[in-house]
Amino acid sequence: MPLADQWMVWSIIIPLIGAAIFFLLKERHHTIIVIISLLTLLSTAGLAFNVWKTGSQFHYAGGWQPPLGIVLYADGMSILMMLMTALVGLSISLYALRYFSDKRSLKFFLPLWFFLWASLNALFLSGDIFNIYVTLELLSLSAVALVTVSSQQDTSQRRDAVFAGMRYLLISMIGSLCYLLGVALLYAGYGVLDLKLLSEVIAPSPSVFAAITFITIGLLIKTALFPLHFWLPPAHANAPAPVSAVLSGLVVKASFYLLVRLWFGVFSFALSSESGLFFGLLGASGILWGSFFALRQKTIKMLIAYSTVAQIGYMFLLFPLAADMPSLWGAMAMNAGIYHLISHAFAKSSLFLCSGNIILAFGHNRIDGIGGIAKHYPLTFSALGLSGLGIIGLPISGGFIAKWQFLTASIGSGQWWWAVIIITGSLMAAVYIYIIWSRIFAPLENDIVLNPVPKSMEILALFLSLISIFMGLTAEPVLQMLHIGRHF
Amino acid sequence: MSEKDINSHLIKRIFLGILTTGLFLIMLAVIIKLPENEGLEEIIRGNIDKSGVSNKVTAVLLNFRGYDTLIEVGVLLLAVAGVLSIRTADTEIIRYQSVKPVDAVLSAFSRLIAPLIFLVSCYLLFAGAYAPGGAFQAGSVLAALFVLLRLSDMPPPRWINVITAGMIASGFLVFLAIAGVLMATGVNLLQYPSEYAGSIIFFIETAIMASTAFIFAELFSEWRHNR
Amino acid sequence: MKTTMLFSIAGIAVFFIGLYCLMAYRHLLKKIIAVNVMGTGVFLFIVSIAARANILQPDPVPHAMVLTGIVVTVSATAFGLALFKRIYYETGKPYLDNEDK
Repeated sequence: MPLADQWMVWSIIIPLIGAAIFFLLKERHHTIIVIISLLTLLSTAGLAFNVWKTGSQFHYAGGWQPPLGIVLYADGMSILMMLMTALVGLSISLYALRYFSDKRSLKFFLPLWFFLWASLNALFLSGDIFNIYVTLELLSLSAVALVTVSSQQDTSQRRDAVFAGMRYLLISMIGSLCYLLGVALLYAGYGVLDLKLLSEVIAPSPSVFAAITFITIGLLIKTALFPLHFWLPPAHANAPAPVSAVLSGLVVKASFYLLVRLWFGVFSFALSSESGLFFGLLGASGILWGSFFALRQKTIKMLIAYSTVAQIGYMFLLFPLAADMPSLWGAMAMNAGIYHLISHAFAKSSLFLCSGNIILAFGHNRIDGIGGIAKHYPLTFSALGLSGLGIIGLPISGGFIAKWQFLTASIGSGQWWWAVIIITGSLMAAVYIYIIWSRIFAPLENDIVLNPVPKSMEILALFLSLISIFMGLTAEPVLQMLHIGRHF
Repeated sequence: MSEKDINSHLIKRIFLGILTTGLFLIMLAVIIKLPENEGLEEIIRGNIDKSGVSNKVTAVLLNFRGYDTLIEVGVLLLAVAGVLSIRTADTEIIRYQSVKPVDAVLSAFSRLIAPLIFLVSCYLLFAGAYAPGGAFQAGSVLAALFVLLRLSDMPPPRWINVITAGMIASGFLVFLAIAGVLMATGVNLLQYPSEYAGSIIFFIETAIMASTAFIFAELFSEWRHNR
Repeated sequence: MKTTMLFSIAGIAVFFIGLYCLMAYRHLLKKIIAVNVMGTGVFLFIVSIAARANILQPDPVPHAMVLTGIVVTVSATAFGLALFKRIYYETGKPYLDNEDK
């Protein structure tokens, strides 16, 4: 088999090899980190290029075709997710090198981080419901462990991180077990684990609806949709900054990706205007709830974490708007949801990297004490500004494209009430982003001594925020890619 | 605890009890009508000759769905990395204490039983090819041996500290290396050539057994600590 | 009703017992055990579906699924216990919330 067909496997194997190497290495090896990250990016890019050229691809793990074996499946949607992961991932790897200044934290961060990267790629490529369970577990466990990787924090922060990690672990184990029970119910009914075969035989029945309920609840817990979001703000705010960026930017997106894959694929018969409305209402509540609490936060990281709760809500508006998929508006809502997911990943991870820079510079991240950024850290300042634009969804940013399409779809399909929610949420986002912006212009307080921030950390935050803005210009090719080999 | 607290506690529990019982009853109605299905038994029986082993569970675990097991071994290694990251010297409050320095019966009995446990774990590993058993079971038994020896005040030699990290990673590394080498020869992920499948599976299982033993001992105890 | 159905029902019952304990108790060790009980319930259910239909030999796939699930749960439990020890060391209390009781 030519190398061209192996890219997708290497995109999983290479970060796994990296994780094993970093588990054993005693000393930090900057070159190896760069090599592994670049190789992962390269294999993802190779896969994306192939899919772009020749359409969706299969790979039969073990050479066994379903239902016996596991199939890996790369279509436009999965490669978009993987490209997003690779770009954010490369930045995180480089950022972590400088951020974890003590050897011990870096030594523990690296294997966990590469396990997480591998699990994301494996999850996006998986075409088998039980294999998805295994990759979800690898993802959740590495995410939980990353929350508690200590860094230069004081005792009370470390304690908060451990508490948040424990809560996150328990809640994500419940999520995994609910998902596994759903898988068991499906296997009991149909005797297959392959998604494609399952979608051919599945039919409405009580046990199938029970399975759908369990799987959906399990994934909603992991996505932190309102009202199952309560674990997210402490976990995302107390983790080290690069970890927060990964959790908010990528990890919650993975379980959302699965929800979209399953509901618009295997479970599409269950997707009606009622179930769409259910997701939509929870999403809308999430937008309002998250934005409201974001306004009340005293620290930047807490604010950004609540903003994630709100932004997750937007993604779920995809379900009511795209429930009748063949229509023009449905397709547009699907585009909007995925586009929002990707541009939010870049903007939010950039914001968290900025918060890491601020913590390093000021020694804290209280919103009222960060004057002087504009003057002393112009790169971080620019990154804060640009990624803020993306979060609010102002024109020329990727967030604008997504929200505009959401608005058009909701008005076009006559569901104007979602448009009201979207606009309200954007206004609230504008206010909480403004809360940060208004302080960064303030002059530096006299008695504060600023710590130097490595240039590379500032540049990486800026790099990600530039991508989130740049996405305002790339809608056409990205959305073309999304439609490659789409089932739905 | 005040009376009010106790009351609110009780109300909470009664509420949760009613909730979970209700959910259980709903599930009961679903389960009773669960459709029957033969699953994948027949197709696995049809392909078992090509898998290299005759035990169907081992064939599924290491061959048909070997990719799942690769990730699963990754999860084990990940757990060790996570546990080590939060296990620092200052948190070890429940330090292992050798309360009974010399317990003649315990140590004599452990001496007697240790080779037997080792034999059982090796048997489990070999039996995995044709009967219930396999690498994880064998590894767990071996881990129990490590812990038992430490509890009987027979700590491992000091050089064990040198090889522990390597042993912990060995199962995952061997599995990954085999996947990588096979891929380089141009076949699919973990696609074993059928004439060597049996040997490859046994090789992987041996590595998984050894590393599982070290991993479980490391995760749940301080079996390496000398006094 | 076949015997295997009894196991399926028992599995689901154990799952919900675990869920109840997880929500009803504050002690973290109890919570960790409760999650394990939930897991055991799911595994019992999965094993029970291996032999429901009229086939000569049980289906090996559920067995493999359970083995994988057990290893994953053991890993998560080990990590949970390590976190628990850390929390107990930091606060002297085995609870997640800081209330004094």
